[in-house]
Amino acid sequence: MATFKIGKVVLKSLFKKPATLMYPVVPRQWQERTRGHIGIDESSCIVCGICAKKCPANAITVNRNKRTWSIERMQCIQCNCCVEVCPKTCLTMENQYTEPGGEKVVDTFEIPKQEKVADGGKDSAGGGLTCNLEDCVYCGLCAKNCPCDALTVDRKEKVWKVDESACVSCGACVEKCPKKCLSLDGGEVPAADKKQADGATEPAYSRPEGEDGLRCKLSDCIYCGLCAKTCPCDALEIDRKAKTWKLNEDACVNCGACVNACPKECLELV
Amino acid sequence: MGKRTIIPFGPQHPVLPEPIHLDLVIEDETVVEAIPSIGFIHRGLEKLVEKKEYTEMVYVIERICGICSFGHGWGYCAAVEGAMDVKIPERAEYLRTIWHEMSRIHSHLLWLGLLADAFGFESLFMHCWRVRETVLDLLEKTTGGRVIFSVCKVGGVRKDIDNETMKEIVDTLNGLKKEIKELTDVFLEDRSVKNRLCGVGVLSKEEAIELGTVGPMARASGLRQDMRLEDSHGIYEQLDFEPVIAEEGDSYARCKVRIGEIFQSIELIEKAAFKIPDGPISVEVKGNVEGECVTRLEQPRGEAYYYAKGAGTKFLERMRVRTPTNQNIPALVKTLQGCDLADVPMLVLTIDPCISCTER
Repeated sequence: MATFKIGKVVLKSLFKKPATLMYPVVPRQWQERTRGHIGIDESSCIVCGICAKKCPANAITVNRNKRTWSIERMQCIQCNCCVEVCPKTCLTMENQYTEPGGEKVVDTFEIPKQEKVADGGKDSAGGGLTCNLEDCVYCGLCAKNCPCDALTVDRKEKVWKVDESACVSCGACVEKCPKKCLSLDGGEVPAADKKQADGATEPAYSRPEGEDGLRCKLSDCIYCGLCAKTCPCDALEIDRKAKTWKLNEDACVNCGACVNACPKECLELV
Repeated sequence: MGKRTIIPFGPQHPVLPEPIHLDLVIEDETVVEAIPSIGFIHRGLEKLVEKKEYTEMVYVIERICGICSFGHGWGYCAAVEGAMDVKIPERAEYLRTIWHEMSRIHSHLLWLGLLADAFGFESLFMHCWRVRETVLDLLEKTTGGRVIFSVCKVGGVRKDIDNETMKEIVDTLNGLKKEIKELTDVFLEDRSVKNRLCGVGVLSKEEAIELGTVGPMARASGLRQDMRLEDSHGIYEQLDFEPVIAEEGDSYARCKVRIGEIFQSIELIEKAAFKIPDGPISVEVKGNVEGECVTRLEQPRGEAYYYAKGAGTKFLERMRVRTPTNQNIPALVKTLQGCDLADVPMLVLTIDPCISCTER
């Protein structure tokens, strides 16, 4: 049995530089693949919100009305999921960690409005999204995968419709189409531009300003019914066909659950 | 016969990286009985399958444990792939094997360090972890993460290793052999270390079988049980190797088995890097999980068992992970009977406990 077997290692390390770095004086060497933090190229973002939907940690919030993209840095688990699903590849995984912080930070980026690339002269809808109706089988996959619910497909009536104002030209539908009959060729016309171009019409609300309580911005409402489903008091009644949004004010307790549930962010509690 | 006293050990104890509680019934300085209890870090991760899509669930499963994170990701993906009848490309299997073996090296080095810490050999502990850092650097270079790799996905892997990096991995690991040998010699030959390890916590082969012991713990008692050879995950069949086995069943044998496995893993990586075929690294997975599947995986700590069941929706219906520590706790209780109180911390460590795995 030997004694003091570690002697050689200890002696050697006496004459070596320390194995640790004098951080932060000596900065850490990052690897090329290190998953540090998510970066965004604001100029190419189309605020489609696919990243927010796919984020397993719900760290990303995309607000299409305000055109902001925000990320909760402490919530993000650096899984690279958003970078992989981004249709415009405007998200990147940077290989440096963010600065250590003492509190939870939400980084918000303003997304600038994009310029019209071309008018195209086509009477096609929604930022140049066209459908070759001869090949279309009206399967509805495009509508299912649209992050903005801009597509309406009716298999019985053989109707394929795109809501110009909602479409953000992300191309998610083009990829999913099994018949490859969709194309994005008329240039990119973001939704917010379209709305502006239509003239700054006053947004229609379910009730006038000034009154307290819950109100819905009807011009943005898609009558999806999520608010009614979330309401703990069953105070909401939505009819998608008749396009009605009704609030039973006696039942409503102003809890705000519906405001958070609304995918279009058209509800507000005044 | 002395007076019996009950000494609580844990859940907070300097030697324990994770919380497990033991009620030690002692007579004089000898432990007569140990009653374990867990339940301090249950997080309910299995239940989350009902809320997270099966593709997103990989990120959750990986976070069951920080040390065998790759193994968990692999086990889950293999179970889902089995239920969906997906065949993943061979290159992906090779890459998974390489990453898994690298996790084994860093896990065992971590364990050696912790063991040294448990019997009070602090400088040995530091040196083990210094060597481990090189392996972590290689993992970060190839996957992007030091602890959570996020490279496994249902249908394959998300990142490739090019030939140059593969060569670097093999060269670096071969270069590490000398350094690891210097340190492991201390464990195996140093008089003071041997005095602490030899003959402590003996578990016979029969007891190991009876108590359902798995992994290095079972192999140290002479059981030839290695899921890498028994279950058909990865490409271990093509790598031609024999599990490291020791007969003694004491703490020294457990140490010897794990040391042997470090060198074995380096060899396996070298063999795999030499044989890895070109080709795609993942296949597209369509549709939802329908059906069920069980996979078994040899993690650094032993056999882990994964069960996935889907009912045709994008959420799994049930997911179950049975981890090696769960299986080794009965053996721990057995080895604690009759040992000195001073040996308890070390014996708890020799099963390589991972309580966050056990409780999920």
